Amino acid sequence: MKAGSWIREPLVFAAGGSLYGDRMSKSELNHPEDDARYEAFVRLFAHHEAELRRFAGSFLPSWGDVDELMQRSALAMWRKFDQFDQGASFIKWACVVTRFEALAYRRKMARDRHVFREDVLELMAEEAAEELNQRSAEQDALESCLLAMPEKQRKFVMLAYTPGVKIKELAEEAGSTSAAFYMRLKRLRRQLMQCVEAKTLQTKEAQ
Amino acid sequence: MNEARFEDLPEEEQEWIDAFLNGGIDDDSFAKLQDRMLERPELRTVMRRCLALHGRRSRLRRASPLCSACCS
Repeated sequence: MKAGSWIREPLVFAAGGSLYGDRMSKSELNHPEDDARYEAFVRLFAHHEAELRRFAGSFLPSWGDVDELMQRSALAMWRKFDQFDQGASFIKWACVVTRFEALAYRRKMARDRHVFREDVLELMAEEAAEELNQRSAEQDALESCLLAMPEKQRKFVMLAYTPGVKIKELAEEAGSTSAAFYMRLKRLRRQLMQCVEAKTLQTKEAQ
Repeated sequence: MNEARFEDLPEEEQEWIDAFLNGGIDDDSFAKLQDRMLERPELRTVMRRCLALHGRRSRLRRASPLCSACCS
């Protein structure tokens, strides 16, 4: 792919979304000598995107925020890609860039809702960078634990996590109250957490 | 895996996490939660796990066969 062409044909990555062409000026990418650099960047970014999303998802309150942060950090990484040592670990470098972008993004988020303070967010992100393998194991365990749940409970959990769903409306439809709905969700979430923690511990011990 | 587990946290911290994940934490509890997070690495570890799984469930709802099998 020619550098610059992705402004009109945004790349689509596994986790969804484009590589953020709408924020990139064409002049930044329109030099033929950028081709190899661009392709190297896209290859590395695509390879590590899921891991990077799990990293960001462990210190941001929602996956909408993760999407937003990924847009910002992908752009920042591309702009700083000249500074990346090709022999170094891309994911470690990407985590550092994303951590700094998260702090900047936090200032925007903090205006209207509960987001972690800067000192807390910084600490969370710093430690999260050391837990990338753990996140992957937990994700596998979650899917396994959900499958092991009775269907009715699984359906309830998945329904509660439907994007845009209003808990109050769900509760009313079910002839229940929001408080009762949240209580049940809390119980099931804790059950899932116990299952995930037990499974990841078992996996670790088996290794 | 870090050995910190949700069920080993004090009940108060568990409640704060639940309220945070539900989007219903009050300002006072949120301030206390963050103060505690600065002090306690175990709480930070569990919070990261909770947030990651919380987000993952939302993603699964959109994309997984787990959903087409049970949520249609």
